[in-house]
Amino acid sequence: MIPVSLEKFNCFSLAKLISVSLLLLVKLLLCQDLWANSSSALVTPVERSMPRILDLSLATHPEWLAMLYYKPTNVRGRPNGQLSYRSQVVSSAFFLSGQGSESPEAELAATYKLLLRLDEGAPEAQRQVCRFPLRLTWLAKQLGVGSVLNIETDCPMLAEWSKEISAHSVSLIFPSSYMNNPSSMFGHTLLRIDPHPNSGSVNFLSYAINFGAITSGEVLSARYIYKGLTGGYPGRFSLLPYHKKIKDYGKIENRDIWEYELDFTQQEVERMLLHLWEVGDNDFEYYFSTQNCAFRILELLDIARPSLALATDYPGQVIPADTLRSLIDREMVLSVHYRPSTFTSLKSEMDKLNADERQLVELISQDLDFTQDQRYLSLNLNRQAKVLDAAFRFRRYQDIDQPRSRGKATQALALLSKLNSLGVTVSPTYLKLPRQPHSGHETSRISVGWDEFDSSGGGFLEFKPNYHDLLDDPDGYPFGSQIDFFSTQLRWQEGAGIELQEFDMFDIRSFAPRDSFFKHNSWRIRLGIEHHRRFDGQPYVTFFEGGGGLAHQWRSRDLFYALATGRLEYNESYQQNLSPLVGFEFGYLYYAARGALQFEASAWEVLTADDYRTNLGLNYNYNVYKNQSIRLALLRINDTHVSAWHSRMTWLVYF
Amino acid sequence: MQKRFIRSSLIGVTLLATPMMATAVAPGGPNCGWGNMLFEGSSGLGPHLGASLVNGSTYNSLVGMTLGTNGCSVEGKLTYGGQNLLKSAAFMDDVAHDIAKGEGEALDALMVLIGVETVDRPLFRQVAKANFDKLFPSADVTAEEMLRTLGEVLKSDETLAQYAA
Repeated sequence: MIPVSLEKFNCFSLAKLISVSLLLLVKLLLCQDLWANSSSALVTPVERSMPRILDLSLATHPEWLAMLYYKPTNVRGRPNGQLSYRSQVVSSAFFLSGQGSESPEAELAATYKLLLRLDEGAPEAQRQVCRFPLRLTWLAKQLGVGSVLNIETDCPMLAEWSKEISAHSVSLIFPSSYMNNPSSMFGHTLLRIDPHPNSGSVNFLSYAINFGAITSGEVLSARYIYKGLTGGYPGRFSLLPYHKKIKDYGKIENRDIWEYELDFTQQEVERMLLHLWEVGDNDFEYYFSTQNCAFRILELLDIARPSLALATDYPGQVIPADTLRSLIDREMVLSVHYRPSTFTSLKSEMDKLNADERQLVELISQDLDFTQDQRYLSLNLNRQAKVLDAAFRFRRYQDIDQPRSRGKATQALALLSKLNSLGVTVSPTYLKLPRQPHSGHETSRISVGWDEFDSSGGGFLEFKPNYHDLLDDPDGYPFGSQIDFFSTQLRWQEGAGIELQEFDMFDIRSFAPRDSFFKHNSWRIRLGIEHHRRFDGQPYVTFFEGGGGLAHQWRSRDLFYALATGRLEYNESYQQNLSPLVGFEFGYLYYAARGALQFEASAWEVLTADDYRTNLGLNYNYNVYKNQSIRLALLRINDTHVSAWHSRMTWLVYF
Repeated sequence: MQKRFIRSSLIGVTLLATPMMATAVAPGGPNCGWGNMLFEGSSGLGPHLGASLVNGSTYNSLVGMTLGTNGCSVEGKLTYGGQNLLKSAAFMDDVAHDIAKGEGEALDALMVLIGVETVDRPLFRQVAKANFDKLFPSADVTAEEMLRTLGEVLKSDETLAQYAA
């Protein structure tokens, strides 16, 4: 066996290797080891495996590349046309080799060297092995050298860690967006590791694995957002008790949580955990839209079962809700559990109460003396308990962001004591499951159609990479929220050719219904460029507009909104290039089973000129299929200079 | 019994370590103590437009977390055992609410940590409910006091006495 491996290191092959300069040193080290070993007559299985390691094809094995987060770089750095790689882990501590972050081969060689040292029984090798147990056992398995590591006896820290987490199964956790914050509409994903169901534990006590940017407590600012979006912060995995996530999302931010139990074997989950142990506190690159939480979670699941190849679905942007679809497509979801937020469950409890009871909830939440009210006393014990429970929860919902006050705490405890004294059990009300986040339309959209302005018609094309507007089918999306990025509209007209009609950098709306219990505000914000046919001269206007107001809901599927608005416009042909506008708008939306109807009216006054603008619009969106719809829009424009009809009919495809 | 104690202590210490940064604090130090009272406020609300865009987070170490090295020293788990779960601010509120309404996830978690067998859990809920006013005599009751009382309450019940460590 040894002569064979020596042959690999004859002068010819060494000369060839000199060209691959990064590898040379590592190989020479291996070579020295080999010489040292060759004097001994004993040949271990690890040594016998040397020919396989030296051809280095293992270094580009997909599993090796995945475990170390190597991605091919576009630079053609290798003379023989091989791909070159770079790891997305930035911490050098993640690698055994000094060149590890850029060379899968060097890292493989270093790992093999460690295997050899371990084989010799070197004590420092023993310590290092426990840092990288998965890589090492993987390599040993590939080389067919059998078991090299007994975690129980060799790595007590790791053994204790694994035992504590006691991984049996894994769930993907998807906190949906929260009210009045459309930016959270993209969602977030994390994992929960559960122990064996027979352990008697509850998933409240399970561990969660989260990937996020490490912002070191920096306060929210434009710089913070810029850094976060452009890779200025490192990303890291963290492990934390799941109940903390329930508290953050469900109780403080009021986001409903979806829990998807995944079909992994215990062995696969343990494999993933060993990998996480290797990853430890090392820093990754972090980019908001590509190398984000959802992407890293998919990579983890790929480590658990490499054949899934989930990450390959996402060469570009990764939207958390989309990753759910990938798992569902691969039939990886065993069961779905819905955990409503404090707000959702309180609202659904309230909806189950009658008007008298609702009023009692409001009164009792403020003053326990209202339990002497005749209307309360006439209720049976179970209804009384429902009212008290809702009153307590309403209080806590209102007070959650307030500093503790002794008076308030005493009142809240008195409410609980009163509830306790009724001696009945209050079980949660049955909640009709909302549509799951993955069940909605796909997130990119293209529209084609016909556009007619003041009786001159033309072709119309729109592309919007993401995400959801108010007329799109709301199933699976948060109600009353819109978040659109980079929407681009083109118009073709005979004679005029193709013109940019509109470009929206972003167009975000959050219309949250307000009632006597939940006093939400509504707002919108938009930045873009639009083509104005309203005057001569330079037709493009750059604008930034926003508004604030209120929304109200009469039935479960309608929405009325009214906002005061403001706008800044820039156009070179204006008397003053920058013009401020103020105005208002109101509208009504109705969602039927297959379509949405919107009526909208708005008015603007240009502050620096004697100009006004009014728009009256009627829009209808009909969902032909989940990912196709037809949209009709009719707009009446009345301005100081122009009065015209603008109509459009488009066919929309979501993908 | 001892195994159960170790298991619950371990979980306890991780619950304890939850809301803290990586600052080493002696057992019972300001961050590891359980002088928290009912209905403490929670920070972190507000329109985190940027926060959720960046998905920024304060950090819990992946590895140190469970070994009790993140925030509280390892001795902490031996000193306080599984009792420290109530350190987490909202947890005691939830337990109080669950006891009053007769069931709930936080109460279940408390029973798991104390090591209450599944068959004894309905009884535990009953006994806790019957002693609500004793466990929470005022809103200023600390987690520590509440647990001490709970221990006494359990001791006085024939079946549950085994869990009053």
